[in-house]
Amino acid sequence: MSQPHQRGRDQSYIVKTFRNPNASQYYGHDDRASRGTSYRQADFKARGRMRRGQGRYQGNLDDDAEMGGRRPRMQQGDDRRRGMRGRGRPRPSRGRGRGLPPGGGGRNPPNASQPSWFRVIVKNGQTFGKEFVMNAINENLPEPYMPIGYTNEANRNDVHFFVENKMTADTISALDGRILAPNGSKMKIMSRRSEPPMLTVDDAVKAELAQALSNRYVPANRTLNLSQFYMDPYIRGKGLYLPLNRQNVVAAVLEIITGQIPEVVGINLSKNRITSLMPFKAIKSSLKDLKALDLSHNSLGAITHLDSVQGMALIELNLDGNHLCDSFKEKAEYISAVRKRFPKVILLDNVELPPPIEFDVEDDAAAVTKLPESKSSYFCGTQPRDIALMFLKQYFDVFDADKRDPLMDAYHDNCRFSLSVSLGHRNSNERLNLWLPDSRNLLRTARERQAALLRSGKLEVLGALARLPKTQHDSNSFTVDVPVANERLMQISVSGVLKEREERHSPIRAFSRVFVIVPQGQGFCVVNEMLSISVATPEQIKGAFKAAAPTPSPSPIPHVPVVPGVVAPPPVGVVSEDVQKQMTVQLATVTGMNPHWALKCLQENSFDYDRSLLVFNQLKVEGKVPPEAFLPA
Amino acid sequence: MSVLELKTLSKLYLDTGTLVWNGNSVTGADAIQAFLETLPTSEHTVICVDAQAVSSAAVDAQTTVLIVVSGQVRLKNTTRSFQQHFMLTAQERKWKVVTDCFRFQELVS
Repeated sequence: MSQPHQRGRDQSYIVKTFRNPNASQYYGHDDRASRGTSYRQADFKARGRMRRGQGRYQGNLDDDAEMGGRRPRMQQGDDRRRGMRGRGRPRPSRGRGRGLPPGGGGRNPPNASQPSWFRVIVKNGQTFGKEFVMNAINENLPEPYMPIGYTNEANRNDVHFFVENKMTADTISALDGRILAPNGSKMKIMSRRSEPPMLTVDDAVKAELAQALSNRYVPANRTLNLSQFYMDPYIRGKGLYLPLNRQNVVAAVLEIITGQIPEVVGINLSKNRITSLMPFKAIKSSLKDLKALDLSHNSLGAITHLDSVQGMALIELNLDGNHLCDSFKEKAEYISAVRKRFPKVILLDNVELPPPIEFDVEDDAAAVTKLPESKSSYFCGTQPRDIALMFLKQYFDVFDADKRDPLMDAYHDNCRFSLSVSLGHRNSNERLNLWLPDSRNLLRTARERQAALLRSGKLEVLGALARLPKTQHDSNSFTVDVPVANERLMQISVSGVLKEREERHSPIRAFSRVFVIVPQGQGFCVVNEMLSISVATPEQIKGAFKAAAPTPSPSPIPHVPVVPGVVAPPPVGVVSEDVQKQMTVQLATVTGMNPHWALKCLQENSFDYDRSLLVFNQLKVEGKVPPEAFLPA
Repeated sequence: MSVLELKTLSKLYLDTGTLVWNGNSVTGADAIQAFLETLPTSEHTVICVDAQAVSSAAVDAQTTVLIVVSGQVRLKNTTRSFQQHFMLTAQERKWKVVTDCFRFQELVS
């Protein structure tokens, strides 16, 4: 649970651990990197890279190819498409990379914002085999190169792979016609400027991703550093290019995080050219412990992008170096906009904010969990339990039969019965028609009708029962509560599901029924009965009539302990102190134990009087009750 | 009945009254009140009510009624259907709850 007011120093280093000191040296111009198109144009000018009419081209290279779905993805190996950009600007055909204007761009290590990808094609490469091709090429390179996205082309015998910098691409294409291939001819190699490679994220790739993530995870403080993930050396070393501004990559990464490190507390996503947080939506529900998010130096253009993940209990957030920061004229406005989405943020862009002022109400999550667990049947004693279960079994066996006449014997001369049907607004399509005519709802039924609908006497009651639809009760679904049972009466409340067995599709209904029974002769009979029918919930319908169980099973009776005090008492319920005292006195009197031991016995048996007595008797028979139990306290 | 404060709920129950809340039993007015106080804030919508006088065969002259209630209850963000059975008895001109059985309409394993 987050406690913003007690944050303390230790939490702030979630962000500090994200910082990659190497990165800031290497990419010293990062501040400008995320400014989007305008920067890229400026960069062009600085490097003298003005191409005729192609000024915008470079800057959009990445944007268009990655997220946003604004243009269709380029298919790999689709030569026809290479000539077409989404914006209708035809690419010049470049030949062997020589079409590039002079200017020496790309001699430096790849700039974070300006990738220049090249696709190298080796004719007949499939025949020669990857090992031969790459060995041959690498022999001629100053440093060995791991090809990205090495692919066998579908319709021909060629292979292609991708290279991220111009210098390497030039060097490779310069090998054209210089290497002897196994078939006797010289290897033909070409390189063309290209979109960044779009790799399929299959299981093999996912496995590599998992490894890469594992390399970047610090279990000690549960932080995951995914900064500049597209440059990840492990991933690159496997010939893959997996930038985090692509939906399929993000989806795979989140799948791995959720599956393997769902307890992650901080994620650093800085410098990943992220333009949208839509693919990250899932973290809201699956990463419950996430408190810190570093999204600095990405390409988030508007604060509304945060809406995709809003509501998370983030304490730290870094949005520095995103275009969205510029649209706020005032710091306060910016903070307010962030807090609207993440009310608990204390550290924003590495600056501590004054803690938010909240209302002293309970955390929603904590409150919901306070609901006590629902238990199955409750019986106020073992004898009532036996009687009730026996009664219900016999009763429903007859009730579910075609003729309900035999029930006559189960009713008292002065019996009463009424039915009520509850039509909840949940499912107004459900037709409880067969039950409605006799339904008595004191909130709805007209006064004049109320008396008539309360059936009195055997004849009326049996008549009403006979008119009800033919049923089949699912005894496995029963919960039986017997809250009171004494010499005069017993109340049996039972609920569960039944089906209207003669109707098409045998619709399932939920029922709740209460019987008040009194002793008669050797058995019992019903004096009052109320039946309530309602629409079954989908869960009830789904679970109905699944297992075959002849009798409803109550809470299990705990077995008699061998040594007093060892047994774990079942959760029977809370008994008030007064009642406890009464029971103690009673038990002491009946058993001859002193109050101290009587109380002990009751405590061990959850103040279930009957059971305590039973246990005592059992132990007495076994000679296991110590003599001091009978000494005066 | 007018709106009552939670803390006076115990007065509605018989001293030896029993509450069975989804199978959890609580006996004694004070214990019942304490238990009900642990439940989260709720909002009940009563859809259906039915009642009968309990036969003298069971209670002699002790005026007692049986009431069943059906409806929906909203707890935090979930709404559930519930049924409740009350047995009330008259004690010196005041109705007291003898038994209160509350059940969500649900599948309980």
